Amino acid sequence: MLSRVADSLYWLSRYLERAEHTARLTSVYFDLILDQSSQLQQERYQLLLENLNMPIEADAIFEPDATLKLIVQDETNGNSIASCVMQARENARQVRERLSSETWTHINQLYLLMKRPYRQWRGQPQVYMHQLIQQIHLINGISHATMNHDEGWQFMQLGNYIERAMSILRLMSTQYLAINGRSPYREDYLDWIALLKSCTAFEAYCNVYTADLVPTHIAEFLLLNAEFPHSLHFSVNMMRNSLAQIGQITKSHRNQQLNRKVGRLQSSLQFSQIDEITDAGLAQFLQDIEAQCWDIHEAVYKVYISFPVAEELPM
Amino acid sequence: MVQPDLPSFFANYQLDEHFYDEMFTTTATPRPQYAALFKRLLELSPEALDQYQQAADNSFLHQGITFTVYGNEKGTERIFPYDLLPRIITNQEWQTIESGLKQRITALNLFLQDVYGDGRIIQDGIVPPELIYTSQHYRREMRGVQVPNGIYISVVGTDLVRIEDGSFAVLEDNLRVPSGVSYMLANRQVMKRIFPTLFGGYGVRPTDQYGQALLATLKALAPKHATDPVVVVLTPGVYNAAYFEHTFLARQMGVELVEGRDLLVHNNVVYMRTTAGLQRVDVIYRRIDDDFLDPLAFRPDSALGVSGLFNAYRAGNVSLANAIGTGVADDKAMYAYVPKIINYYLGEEAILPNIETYLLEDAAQRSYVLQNLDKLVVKAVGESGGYGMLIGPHSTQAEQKSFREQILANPRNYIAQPTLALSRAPCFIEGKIDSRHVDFRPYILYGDEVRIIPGGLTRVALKQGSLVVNSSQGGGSKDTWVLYE
Repeated sequence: MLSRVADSLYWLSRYLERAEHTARLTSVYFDLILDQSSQLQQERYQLLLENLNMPIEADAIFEPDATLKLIVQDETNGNSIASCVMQARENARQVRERLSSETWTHINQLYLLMKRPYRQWRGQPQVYMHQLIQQIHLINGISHATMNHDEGWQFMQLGNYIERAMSILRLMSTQYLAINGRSPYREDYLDWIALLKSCTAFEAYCNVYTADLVPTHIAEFLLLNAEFPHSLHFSVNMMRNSLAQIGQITKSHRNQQLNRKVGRLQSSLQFSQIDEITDAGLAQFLQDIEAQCWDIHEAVYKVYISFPVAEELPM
Repeated sequence: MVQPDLPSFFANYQLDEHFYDEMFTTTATPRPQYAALFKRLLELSPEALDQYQQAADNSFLHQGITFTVYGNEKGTERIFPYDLLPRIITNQEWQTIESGLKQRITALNLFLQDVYGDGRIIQDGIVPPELIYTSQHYRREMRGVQVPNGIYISVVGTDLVRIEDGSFAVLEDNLRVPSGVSYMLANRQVMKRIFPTLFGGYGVRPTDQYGQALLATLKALAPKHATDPVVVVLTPGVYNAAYFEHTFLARQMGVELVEGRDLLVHNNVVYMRTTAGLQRVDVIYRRIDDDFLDPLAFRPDSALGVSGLFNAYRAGNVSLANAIGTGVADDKAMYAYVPKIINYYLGEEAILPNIETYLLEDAAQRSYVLQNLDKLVVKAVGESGGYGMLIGPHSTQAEQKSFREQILANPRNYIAQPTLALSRAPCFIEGKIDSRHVDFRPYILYGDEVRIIPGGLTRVALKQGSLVVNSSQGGGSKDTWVLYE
């Protein structure tokens, strides 16, 4: 498969996952903001934008209209839903012959949905976010069901899960640490629920730990649970699977180092215990893992996409 | 003129003796090949046809079968308007078209061999040398280059028109990178879905084999070293107006769609960069103009091409379809000489006639044309897509004045032709059936033998009275049925 095509498929999924994550977080936070006294409102807007890696002006006073527009529609904001969807579609357009027509059609529909003017949905942002999320689920399901699970599809999986792993890490290092760090407050449970909901994890968490919200349990669930698809451990397992498949299909002889990197990351999650992690410092742990994810991303590029040509030329 | 003899559905149908009508004779009776379609149309309500039209449009939109229109800030994507009613060509008409095209393509290929070889046709005084050497598509670099099988033009889309007496004539030879074949195939798919029973009973020859035929043609051009040649389609990229077609053809053939940045040349061998390392490429179906192919050989500012490609080509390590420099034979001024070219190489008269053409370099012809700018069509010789064109009867004084100045400044750059009476075909327009001008572009493949897919793209000038069928200028298209009988 052409390196450029692999690159586009990888980013197509990363941008779709990012758009979905942004939509879900927005929906969860706007829900949360409805529920409470105004005391924490500004702090929560701030947290939302930090979680999404969006530009925040110093001493900004947040209000719903401008915040929604910034998150959803602002094309100058590279992480807005509009930017992500346009990037995803642009990448899809460049590899159209590789996608099933059904997949392409639904990416196109997502784009049309995203183009809806603000006045049409400003009254019910949650409903609109939900539609966007559903459309992305549809794309994921359709590509799963209609495309060959070949090398290209594995690159899409890889992009999807590396993006997901990074979003979980970011959520943990901003939101989790912020709630955990502040002095106890009687409505804290709302923030914990919001954190779980941001990973579609609330119900799944309750199935494992009951509705008893214990911070270390939450951390354990989101970081180390191997069965839950929005956990870090699960995402890393999927990354490793996809990389193994890609290695097999391409018969690559340059990927030993990459395999070691992802294997090491996976084992460290598999054999970790949450109390050890928190004792040694959660913030440091999250930073280390994030650095490893970046390292894997770069290694993928070095092996498969922008490898030095000179090494490959016949003598 | 309104036809009292036709049912109300056709109340506004224009039918007169100045233009050949594809469906009706001058007495408003349907021609035999259209009789069954006519009967079916009378059974349908305008509402039903409207629904069909919407179903067809949606099908194109959702599949993203679009082209890009330039001129405004961002290239906007539009669907290529599709007309529901098929254009029907009888087997007998097709026989003439097919043999005429074979003859023409064979002769033009011999001409290219000669122009880039010994130049006999120039020495024999049939074609003036200055016409060749001043053509902006003549490529001096191709002198003496051996092309695979001696074939320069492997993929051709010739524009035909039907004139007043009902016969077909050639309007343009497109020998560089003709487009539109994906619409021919997509139109057919939509047609089969919308009118299955009508289509099934009509005895229409299939066109679906185009992908296989194109692949076989390209493989036939492969260099000798390649036993199982690697074929790729080279596209300028996602912003090209025909990008949809490039992806479509790559998918139909099951080959990689590459951009210039995916390829590299080392020791005169072309490779593509894949996730499994570098892979050698043997045949390139390129959808990039000569000028942009190789910044080392042609335009140095081209970011679309591949450095060193021309040397790899000249060394015989990679084949290109079409060859470089074929544009010298589809120059609009060279067009006037094609009947002579056919006669020179094949000793035959042209089966498909040319349209009368005035060469503006010739003083007598030029003065005639300048006096009659309001009646003639003037075209720039190197342009295509309906750009750089003056249609006399539909032009303003100012436009004529501007063309007059341009012609006088550079007469070699222009030709003139009489305003054509393009035939008209029935179209479904705003709830009624009306007639519109059409042309016809069949697609010809030439790898080891000449293959012509029975069908083609019928382009429609959707604006009433308009003669311009190009998609960039508000044209649409319809499915074309070539019948077994």
